[in-house]
Amino acid sequence: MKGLLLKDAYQIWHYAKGVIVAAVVMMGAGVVTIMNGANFFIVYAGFLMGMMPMTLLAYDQASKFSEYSGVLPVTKEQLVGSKYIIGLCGLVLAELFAAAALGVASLHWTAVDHALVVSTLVQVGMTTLLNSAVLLPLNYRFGYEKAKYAFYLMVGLVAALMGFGVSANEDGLARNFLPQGVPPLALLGIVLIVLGLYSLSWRLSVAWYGKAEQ
Amino acid sequence: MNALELRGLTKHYKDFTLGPLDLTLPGGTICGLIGENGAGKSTTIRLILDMVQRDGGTVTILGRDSRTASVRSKEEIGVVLGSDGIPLCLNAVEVGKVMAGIYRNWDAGDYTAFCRKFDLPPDKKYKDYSAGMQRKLCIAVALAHHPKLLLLDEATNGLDPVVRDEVTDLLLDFARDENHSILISSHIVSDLEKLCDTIAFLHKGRLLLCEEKDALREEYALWHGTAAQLAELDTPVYGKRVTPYGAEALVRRDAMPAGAELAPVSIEELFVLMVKEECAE
Repeated sequence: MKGLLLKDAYQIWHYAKGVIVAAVVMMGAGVVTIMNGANFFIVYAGFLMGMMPMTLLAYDQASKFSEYSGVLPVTKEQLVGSKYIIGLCGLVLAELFAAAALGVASLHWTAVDHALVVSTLVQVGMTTLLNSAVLLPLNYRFGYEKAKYAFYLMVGLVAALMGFGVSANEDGLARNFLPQGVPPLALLGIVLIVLGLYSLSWRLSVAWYGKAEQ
Repeated sequence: MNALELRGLTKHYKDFTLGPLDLTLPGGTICGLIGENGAGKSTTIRLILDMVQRDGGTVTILGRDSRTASVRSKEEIGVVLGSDGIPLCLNAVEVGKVMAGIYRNWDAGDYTAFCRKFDLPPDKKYKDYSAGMQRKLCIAVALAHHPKLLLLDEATNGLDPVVRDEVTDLLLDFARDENHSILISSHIVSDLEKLCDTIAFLHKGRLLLCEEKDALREEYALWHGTAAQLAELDTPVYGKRVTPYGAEALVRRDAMPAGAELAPVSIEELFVLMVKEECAE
């Protein structure tokens, strides 16, 4: 497992550090655009971080490491698990960036209150984890080339949600993916549901591991 | 103990069937799997490694059924699948660190020594290596965790003759230990002729023969004559070639009458003539 994580870390360093930089830039933009309560940029940065495992898997398939890993003394649970751990690392990083951005924003804008901070952090977690939770099993089942269409669909869904957000607000501004004023208990419920879906997704990916190569 | 045993190994595809294959690789020996492109060499190796689901038969590696053996038993197998599998952006040093985190038996000293021996630049990315360098790195990875069995799929293709010779020596050195064995597939027969104790001919998914190399050379020979003489030859012919300058036939020495003029046959000629005969049938 250590070797697999190290390989992914190297691949992130060589290929995907630009994604992390882009996420940081978006978070920076989010500090400004959240002045009237719109957290799109901060949440979208989480979405970018959530793409990391799928990106790594695409590189594994391109280099045929996915196939070669069948000769290594590692279980499929470890192979799949390493991608989900990377997803969780992405979550931690996204939450840290978001917390920093929200911290700075709360010093400048009165709209950034405690409720918006908590709600935004939950939304960052949702988009980061759900991205991997949906796309990784599809990747293992159908391979990157086919699964990328699901990715396009997800981007479309995010855009549709944004459209809904815009139309739902009186001033026509995109604010939140979640309705405003969701009680803390419901937010906790959302977090638990997302974590449950993430672990279910891991089980599904393990079951589907190798199907794309067969 | 046999390093590898295949019994009735079968795989069906829409337009191709492999097997049933029966093959035994005793410990301390090298077996060459020879076949033309598409004969099923790579599929056989992937079936052995359970990378492709087999439709029938059994595979026993180092005394353990490949399906029920623990994943840790893969520590004892070194594999080269052409030049595939190494992440393209990694350099040799990074590959070494990654593999050290995967193999318990990883020998960093050996790996560095192999990389030096093969003149592999440590800081260059794998994707920037030449095809030959990529193969050499794969071979270094396969050897650096002290495997007992090497499964090499087209491992020497793309290497220049000097490096091929170096790799051949390295593999011969590896197989000197009676606990070490190698199954190597290639369509470069001359490499295998130098290296192998046993030769297995694979043609269109079927094993035409599997015998000791020296026995093959002793049993078979080339008969030369005219086309008319060939037509009158009263002995089984396993392959023939007729040209305007004459005819030659692959025959068994013991089936030929005493005094018949026979020339030794190389493994390459043996393979080519047998496959052509199969195709003609």
